[in-house]
Amino acid sequence: MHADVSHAEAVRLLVNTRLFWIPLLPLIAFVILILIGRRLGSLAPWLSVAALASAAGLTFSIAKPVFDGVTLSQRWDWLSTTNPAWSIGFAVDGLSWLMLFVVTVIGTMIQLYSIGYMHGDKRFSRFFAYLSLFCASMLGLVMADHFLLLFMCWELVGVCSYLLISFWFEKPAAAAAGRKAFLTTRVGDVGLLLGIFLLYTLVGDLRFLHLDIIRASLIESGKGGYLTLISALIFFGAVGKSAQIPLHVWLPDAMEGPTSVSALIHAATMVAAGVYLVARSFALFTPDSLQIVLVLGLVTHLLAATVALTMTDIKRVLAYSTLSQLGLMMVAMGLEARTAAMFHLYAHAFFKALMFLGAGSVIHAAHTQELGELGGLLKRMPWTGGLFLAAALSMCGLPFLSGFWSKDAILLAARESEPVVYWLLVLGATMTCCYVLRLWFRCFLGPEAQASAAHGGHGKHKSAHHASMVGAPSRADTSSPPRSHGAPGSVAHESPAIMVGPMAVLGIGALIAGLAGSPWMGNPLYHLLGDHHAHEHLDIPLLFMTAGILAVGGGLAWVVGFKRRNLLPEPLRPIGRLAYNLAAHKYYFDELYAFAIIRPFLSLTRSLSIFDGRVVDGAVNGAGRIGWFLGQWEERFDRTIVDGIVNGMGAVAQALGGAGRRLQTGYIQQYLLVVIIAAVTLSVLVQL
Amino acid sequence: MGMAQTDIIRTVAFGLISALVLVSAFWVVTLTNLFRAALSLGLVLVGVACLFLLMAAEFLAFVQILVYVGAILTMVIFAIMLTGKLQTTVDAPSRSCGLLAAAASGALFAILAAAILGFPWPISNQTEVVTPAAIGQQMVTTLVLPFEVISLVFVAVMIGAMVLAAGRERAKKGRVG
Amino acid sequence: MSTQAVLLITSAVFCLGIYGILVRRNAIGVLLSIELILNAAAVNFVLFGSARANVHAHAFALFIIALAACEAVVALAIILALSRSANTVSVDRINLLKG
Repeated sequence: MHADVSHAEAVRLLVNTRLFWIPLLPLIAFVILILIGRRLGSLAPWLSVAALASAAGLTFSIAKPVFDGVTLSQRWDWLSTTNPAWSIGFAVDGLSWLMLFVVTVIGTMIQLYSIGYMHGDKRFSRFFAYLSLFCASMLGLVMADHFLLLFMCWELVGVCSYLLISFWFEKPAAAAAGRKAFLTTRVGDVGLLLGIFLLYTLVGDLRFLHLDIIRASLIESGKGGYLTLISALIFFGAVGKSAQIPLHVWLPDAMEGPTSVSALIHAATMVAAGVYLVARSFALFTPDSLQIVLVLGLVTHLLAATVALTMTDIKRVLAYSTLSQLGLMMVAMGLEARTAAMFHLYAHAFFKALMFLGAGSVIHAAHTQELGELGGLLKRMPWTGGLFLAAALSMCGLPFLSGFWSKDAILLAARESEPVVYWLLVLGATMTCCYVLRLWFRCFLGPEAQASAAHGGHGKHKSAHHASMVGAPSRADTSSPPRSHGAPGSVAHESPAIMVGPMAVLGIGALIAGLAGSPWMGNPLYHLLGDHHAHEHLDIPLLFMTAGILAVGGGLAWVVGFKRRNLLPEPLRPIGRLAYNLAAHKYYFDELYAFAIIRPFLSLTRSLSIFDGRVVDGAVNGAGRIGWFLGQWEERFDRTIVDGIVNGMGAVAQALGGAGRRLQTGYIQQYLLVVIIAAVTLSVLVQL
Repeated sequence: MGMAQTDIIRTVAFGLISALVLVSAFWVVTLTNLFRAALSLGLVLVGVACLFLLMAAEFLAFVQILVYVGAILTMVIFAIMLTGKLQTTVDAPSRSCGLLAAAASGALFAILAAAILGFPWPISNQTEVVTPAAIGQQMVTTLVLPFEVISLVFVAVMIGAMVLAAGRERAKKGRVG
Repeated sequence: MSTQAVLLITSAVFCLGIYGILVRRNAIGVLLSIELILNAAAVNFVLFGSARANVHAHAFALFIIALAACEAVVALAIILALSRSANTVSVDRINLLKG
């Protein structure tokens, strides 16, 4: 280090070392909790919360230079000291800072909530250990300045997701869901890895800092096609992680995990990692690959919305809603509205996390997830109901709430570039309002249903005479913590303060966080992300359009979803029923995969296993048997010959002894005879 | 008589006595009738006494007759009489046993004879005779120890013989002494 | 009466005595053979004693006679005791030393 370092330099160095601590604190919490968590008892979660809150604090402390446009970085040479391409480290620019903010703040709230939600669980401390590990790896992911470090954290995040989804692994459904999540995202990760390999072989540099340079060099050298391929492969990884079609099948099943897990990982942060990845490597995307992103995102957005309309499990509705919103973010990316997509990610994190926490609160109180068994909870759970409504309205885009600003940004971008996409997004937004409000109405309004701790209706509600949105056969496994609070049929009650408090904080965020990207405050978010194309003022036509969407969606939700009236005219009802069933069965994606991919694969593994059992094991056993035979022969040899020799020697000695014994006849005369003979012999010998 | 005549008489006498001794000894070891064997032993003893006489050891000759023939032989004959009924089998050796023993003793005799005949014995011109007085004198001077020990041996033998002979009776009757 | 002749005679008697010990089955017969041996030895002593006028040799022969007597006494006592306990005087039957 130089002796005469300037003040700015000094500040920068001081600040830069904080970058390490941001992911390191939760990591330390993880290690401590894994090793001695059980002994810490009720102190355990507070350790985790403290770590993450400290990380949040650090994030705020580095806010100022980042907002000023400085990119903080901390780097060290990893593989080679001479080749600069192998220096890995952390870099925080506006994009990373936004993600840091989301992960730390929302993560802290969710951890606080979990203290109440997971109370009494037998693996209480391990849950928080896993949460800490997840936060550490997510923070590392968003701060990575090198593709490899990002990939490492990417995989680590996937592992944490697996661990947390199958946290209650005693339930076979949970274990299966964890496996499914891991394997499906793995398929996407292969794409990401291939993209990284390709990038490395072509360019040899994997640092994010240089992506613009890389793009320019590849286009110049006429390898623009490779650029499309690389970005498409990277997007494939995002498809897996962010659950776009066709790799979306794991997200609904991931609802088997605890609700806080669903809130943190599958609503706010991990699934957003794919969006972040696309944003980060945006420089590598060509118009062609962006087209792919747009199309897949749009398909996901619309398809998931239709399925969400038919689901009767709270968490499944929210899962498909997340899928839909992620698709929306990808659409925004495809429209080159990177900032709008990130803005929506940021706002979505708040209200979706809040909705999941609210659902968890409901499940915690009523012990069921089925809409058929819920209802009229507003009276008993005013806080939960109110906050849930706030989140729902924000998501629907009630003017001037967070969701309004973010969604409008996307719609604006669509309107300005592709009108077709614009109208499809309008349709999607209408469906969004519809299912969200349907959920809220059914859950919190209406007559109180009898709560039961067992499974909900298994399709007995499937009415044949009207295609209303009554329960279709959905997976009825409850994802509430497997222990009972009171007898079945007990009355629902408001959740404890430790659960409601964080929800309230998130509620505030859901309401006003969007102002950061609004023209009223000067679009600070846009400046943060380096985007200077923000709109200066409110777009009035869009405001009306949004209000209209809300009205139509809300009205449909009330009439069809809540009051259960079938609005379709008579001749169209069969079609309606068909469409409904198709959506209710999630378009048979799982069945298709099971048939086309999983079954052949399993039969292949079975035949390989038989091969292994017969041939390989046969060879091994045969070798063993040869050894056995050799052993037999050797034993026989040893027994007869070797023992024979030994025994023979003994027998010889015995015979000699026996013979010698006969000399001792007891007859003295014979002794004398021997003496005489000996004397004679000796004399003869001496003479000779 | 002249010296030559004495020598001739001596030689003839020696020959006769040797023949007696040998034959009697042969009878001693071969006669199956033990009584006759004992009597043959008597003959041997007498022959040995005569040999003593020939070797100018009169005192020993007398002692021989007195002790050996008079006492020992008598005792042996007594024993033969006492245990005569117990002799259940004829005291003849089995053929193989006898041959082996004969061979062994024959070999021994051969060895001894070879040694005797091969040794240059010095010829003695001794004219002095050993008198009983000399023997007696030696007994109480140089050989007083063996003399006394012999006495002890006698005592021990007497006691031992008495104990042995009377053993069972004493055990039966429980008498002491 | 040469030395050699006497020695030969006594050797012959000695060997006959050995033969007798080996062959005789009656215990008293063995005793008789032992007497033969002793006598042969005594004659040897006297022979050399007379040849050199050695008193000790004569005395030794005397001792032999005396000891022969003792030994005969003891032997006969043993034989008598044995005859009573084992009911036999045949040495064939006395093989307690059998190994």
